[in-house]
Amino acid sequence: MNAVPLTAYLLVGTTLFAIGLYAILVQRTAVMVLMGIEVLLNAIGLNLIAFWRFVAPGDYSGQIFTIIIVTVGAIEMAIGLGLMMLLYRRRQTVQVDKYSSLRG
Amino acid sequence: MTTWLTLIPLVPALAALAILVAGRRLPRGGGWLAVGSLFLSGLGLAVLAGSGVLRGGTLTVEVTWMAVGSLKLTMGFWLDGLSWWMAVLVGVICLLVTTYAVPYMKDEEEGQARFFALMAFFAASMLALVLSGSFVLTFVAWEGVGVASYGLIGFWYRKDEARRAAPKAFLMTRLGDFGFLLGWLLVLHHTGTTHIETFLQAVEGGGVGTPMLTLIALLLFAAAVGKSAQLPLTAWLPDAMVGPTPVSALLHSATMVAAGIYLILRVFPLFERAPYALDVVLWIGAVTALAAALVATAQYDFKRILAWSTVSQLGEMMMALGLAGPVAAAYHLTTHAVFKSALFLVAGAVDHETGSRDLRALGGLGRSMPWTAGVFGVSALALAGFPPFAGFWSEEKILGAAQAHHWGWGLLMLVLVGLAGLYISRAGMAIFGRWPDAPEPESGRPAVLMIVPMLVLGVAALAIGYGVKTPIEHVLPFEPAQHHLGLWRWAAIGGSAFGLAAGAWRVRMAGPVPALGTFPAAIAGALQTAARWPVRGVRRMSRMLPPLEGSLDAGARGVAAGATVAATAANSSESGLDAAARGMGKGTRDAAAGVEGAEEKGFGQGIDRFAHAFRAAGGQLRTLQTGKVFQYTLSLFAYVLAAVVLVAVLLWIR
Repeated sequence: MNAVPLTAYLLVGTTLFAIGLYAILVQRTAVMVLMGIEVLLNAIGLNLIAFWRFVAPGDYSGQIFTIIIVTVGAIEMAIGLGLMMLLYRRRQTVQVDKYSSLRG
Repeated sequence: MTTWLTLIPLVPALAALAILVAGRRLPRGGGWLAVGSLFLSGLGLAVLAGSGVLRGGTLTVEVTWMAVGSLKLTMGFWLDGLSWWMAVLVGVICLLVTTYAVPYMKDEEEGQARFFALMAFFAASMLALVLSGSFVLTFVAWEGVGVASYGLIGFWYRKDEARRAAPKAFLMTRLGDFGFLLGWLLVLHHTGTTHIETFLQAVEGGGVGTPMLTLIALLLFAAAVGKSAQLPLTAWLPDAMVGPTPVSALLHSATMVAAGIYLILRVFPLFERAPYALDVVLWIGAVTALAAALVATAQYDFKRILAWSTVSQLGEMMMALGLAGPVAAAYHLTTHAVFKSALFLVAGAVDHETGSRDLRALGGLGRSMPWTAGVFGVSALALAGFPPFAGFWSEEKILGAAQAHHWGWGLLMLVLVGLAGLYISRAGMAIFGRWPDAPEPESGRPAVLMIVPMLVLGVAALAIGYGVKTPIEHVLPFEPAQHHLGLWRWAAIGGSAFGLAAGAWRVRMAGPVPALGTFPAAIAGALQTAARWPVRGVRRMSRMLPPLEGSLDAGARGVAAGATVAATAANSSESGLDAAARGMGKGTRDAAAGVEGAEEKGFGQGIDRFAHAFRAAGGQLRTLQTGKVFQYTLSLFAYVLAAVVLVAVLLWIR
């Protein structure tokens, strides 16, 4: 079972995190940015579950936390998409560059 | 051998992924990749036939997905006669229909890759579903085919109907899926396993009480009702016909909608021990079969006729299950998959070449599309249960089980056979034959690659009925039942012939009018309405809200009035205080004016200069606020990184 070392999981987690970050920074549409956020969240979930598996496999609170993270991710996605629908109704666009009312 | 077993669903899944990534750059949207992967899966199944599963052996792969405390969820494949049989059926029809889809979809400007990726994904999910040995994997694959169905019904998402039909199909089947989820969670709770075979052994060993068995069986049946479009969750299937025709042929007639039947077959020992659940299956199947067959006689859209016919035939399979004839159900599932997908491919060819599938706009195509018409003829006779075509043999099996139960069920089967003949010969006559004022539209010839799969399925519709009669009884792990039919057989042939003749004659005389008057159309309307009752209920509940809100409002208004009275009183006492305060304020203001005068002359100017400097600095800082979201994000992460580095450096120095 333990043929895959912890480092491998962490590397995958890091890669996912980097991909998610890249998506958030570079993508222009809000949908893709939300997807990037989701990837970030799952990278964290992966790290958590990997640490649980290798550090305290007997105690399953790690699994429960990860399930909570997944649930939170789903809720966050729903809220994010809801916000986007509202923004789209106001601005007729989902391009994040066009949301520039914060400009000084 | 187990590697082969794992590879069978995996290869199409990988193909789906590859098409998704690179399909846009491949010729024909990567369609050939999908075809090739299905071919490989088929080869794998042929190899597995040599592993002894055909002689009652089993082959299994199992991994633990997760173990939490005492709960253990396993995923894995389980190959026995039944799953091998279904996998071969699914694999072959997927292969043929996908081949047909390559020329069919070639004129699509965009989305070819999406189409073939979804088709390959569907094939992978469906193969995983039939090969799965655990409820968890079955459930995952079950939802997978649902997702593929959603994507493919909504393939032409610019069309309004497609946008409406796709979520409708997804949500209506989802209602049943809740039953599945609850069902296998109950199984997990009561037997501590999600492995289907272990569960069935526990059932046969008497480890679970009959009420619980009945509940589980009914919950699983709810899933089958959703997927197989039985009443009351029927309305999505006819609407799903807005998808491309290969999709209708593959998902919505031959394979996906048969998943419900397969699920019940898979856990049939459970149903055998829950006679009440079996009765429910029988009645729902019978009512669905009859209602859908009646509706089919009044439709004008060729594909809708076929869709209602599919619902009706699935109802017949449910009846067979309810009559405790699993072999009959599996047999009819097999033959139906073959001849119904052939019929759909014919519908697709007609639609592709003439641009219409309305019976009123078609006619006389028998001359311009002879091969298509031939395939139609064979599969229509198979559907109508006319000997020696496929449907005859399997419907005879169901008839045998039905009349052995009660002569009333036998009679219902005869009526169903007659109705099938009626609606399909009406459609055939209206499309391929001549009738008064037939429009006889122009039509091209279907591409060879479209004709070949049709021909293969047509020949199969001719031969498979008798051809698999004996093998299926050996391969499937059920006891075949032998019934003596006698006169019933001749009555069935007579009913079929009468239906066929009546349907054709009616079109010949009066054109493609509804064969039995308009009351079946009223049934369709009623079914659609029935699907809407939950929505109605919610709406009625929401209508109760305004009065409730009104009474709450009145209460709130009373409180507010009281508060106003109190506020007025407070106000009058306040005005006295005000006068006093004003006096004091005047004194203070005078004092302040004196101070201000001093200030202005003294350090006022200094302060002004200071403020100017602040404003200039602020103007510089404003440029940092670009309003670009990614820069904020970037700076957030940069800050965190800097903090981490700082802490690391500090720790290192220490």
